[in-house]
Amino acid sequence: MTGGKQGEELAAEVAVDVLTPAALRAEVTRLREENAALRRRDADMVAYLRAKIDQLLAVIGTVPLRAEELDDAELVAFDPINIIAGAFVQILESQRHTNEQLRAARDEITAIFNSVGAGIMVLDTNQKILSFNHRLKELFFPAAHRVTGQTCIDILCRASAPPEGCVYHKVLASGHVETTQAWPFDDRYFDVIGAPVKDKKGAVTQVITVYTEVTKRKQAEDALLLALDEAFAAQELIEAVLRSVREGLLVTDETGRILIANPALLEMFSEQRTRVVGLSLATLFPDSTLAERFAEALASGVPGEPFDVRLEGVAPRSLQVRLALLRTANDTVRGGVVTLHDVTRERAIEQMKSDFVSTAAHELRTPLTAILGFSELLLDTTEFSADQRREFTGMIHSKAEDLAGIIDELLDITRIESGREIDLSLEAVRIDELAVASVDFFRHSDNRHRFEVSLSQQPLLVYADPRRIGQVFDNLISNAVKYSPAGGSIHVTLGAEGSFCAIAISDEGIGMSAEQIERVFDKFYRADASNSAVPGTGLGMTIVRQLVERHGGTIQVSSLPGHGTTIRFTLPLCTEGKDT
Amino acid sequence: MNKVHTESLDVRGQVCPSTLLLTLREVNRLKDALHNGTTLLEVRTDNRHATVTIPNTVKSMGLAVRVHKEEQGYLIQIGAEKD
Repeated sequence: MTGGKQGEELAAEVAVDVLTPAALRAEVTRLREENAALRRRDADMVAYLRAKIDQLLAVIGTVPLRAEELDDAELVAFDPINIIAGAFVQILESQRHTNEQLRAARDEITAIFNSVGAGIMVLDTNQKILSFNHRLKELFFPAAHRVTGQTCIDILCRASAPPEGCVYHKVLASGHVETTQAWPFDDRYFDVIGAPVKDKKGAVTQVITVYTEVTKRKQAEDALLLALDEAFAAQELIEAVLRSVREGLLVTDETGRILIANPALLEMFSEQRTRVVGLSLATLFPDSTLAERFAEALASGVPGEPFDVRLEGVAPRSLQVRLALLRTANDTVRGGVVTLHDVTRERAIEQMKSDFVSTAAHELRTPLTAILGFSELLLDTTEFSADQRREFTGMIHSKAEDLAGIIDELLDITRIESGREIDLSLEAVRIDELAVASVDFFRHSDNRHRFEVSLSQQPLLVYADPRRIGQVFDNLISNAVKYSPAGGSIHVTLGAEGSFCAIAISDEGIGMSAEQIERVFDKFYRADASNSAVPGTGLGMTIVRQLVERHGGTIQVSSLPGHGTTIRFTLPLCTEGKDT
Repeated sequence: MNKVHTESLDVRGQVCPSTLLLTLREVNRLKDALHNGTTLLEVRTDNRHATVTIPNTVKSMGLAVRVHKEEQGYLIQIGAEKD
């Protein structure tokens, strides 16, 4: 193909489209207008795109897209709408997933809400019930047709004011979870928990209340408390009984292990309860047959007769033991009760009484032998001179007086024993004269001792029974004589001390130990009982104290073994009124 | 434990909403890998506003976000939410 040929063909084609100048101008104008319209449409399109992009950007929370940041051409190429649409697709997918989870959670909560054993109610701040579960309806209003929208106070409490312990009001007041234990309602009891639902500002908008019926538990608790009260009362009663029992008391199990020990027993052993409870009887009574007898009683089912055990130690004691068996309802032996009665004093008195019988027999026999001997002499023999007969008769009289004295003492002690008072014939008496008379008697009948009497300068007048006070002096001086070695001095001192006359009788005799002093006023007690050569019934000091006290006086003994004894007693001095 | 692949995007010098749009474009691209936890996208930005807009948006897309302050700007880590 040549170049000339091509130029010709082109000229022919152009010639076909050749326009007139006017037509060409019109075509140019049309094309310009069409171009302007296209430009406007593009600008509108871009503006629309930017507006939509900014709208979408606002939805996702950011600022609009500035034109200088992305020009129109870049905007189209960058395609933000596509980007945001892709993000929205993911957001929607996420929302859908979240919604599914929420639905599942709601279904789960609804299932729990209705299957839970507790009644649940949701209330607004005006006491209106917003929702509730099946259990709540069962518990409180099984027959109600409409519950939602009603107020709890109308449908549940049916009262004009909230009841005491109302959890709903407690939650509204505090804004926190509140509980009420054993809330009473229609003869039933509920543990109630109230929880607030709050808005973003922390204000309570709803209250959820949960009711768990605890009637059976409450009844069980009440029964338990009642039983505990009764048990405590019974225990207190038992303890009061145990405390009030003066005898020592032990309760043991079937092996002899000590379960209970009363205060009297603990005092007997000077022990604390914790140190006795748990011990075996054999440990507590190591040197006695108590544990053995207890085992025999358990084996035979027969408690046996009371018996004595001896507790050795600083102050040895005799205890009378009684055994009793504890039996269950089906008569099985489940333990035992050991009662210990301190019979130390009784046993000592029994011993003293026994000693007294032999002493009294001896005391009666001695003068009686003399009386019998001298009277037989007088009856059988006529050869005696008148002086001899007088002497024998005097001896008989003297011994008869001794007998009368012993019998008087026995009568006095019988009176004291039976609680009767010794009769006194009171009068104003010169006590110093009574003392001197008594001392003179002993001075004349006993030349082995020296007697000294210290008297007040003034005559001492007491209001007393002269025969009985004379008896007191005779007894005390007689004791001083009996228990003093030959050659010893016996001092009798009298003086006024305030409104009393104080009398002291001192000897230089064998004296007494503290234990002997403590028992010197006991009936039948003789400090030196082993020495039967010293006459006496063991009643004199008992009678002396009774007489002194009957006169309104007091009596004390001070003594040291080997250093003699001093007896001090007082008698009220005669007042003017009494004197006259 | 499978190794997690890390993709990086540096949008320092950009401001919002470009930082957000660029990040979202990457999140869209890596959508599946980010949601299933095989990929972690690390976005570096020096635009403080982006530390709010990016986390807010990608969280609503169901992804987990952590923002760390670095010497020159911020590192925003985007990955799958843990159960």
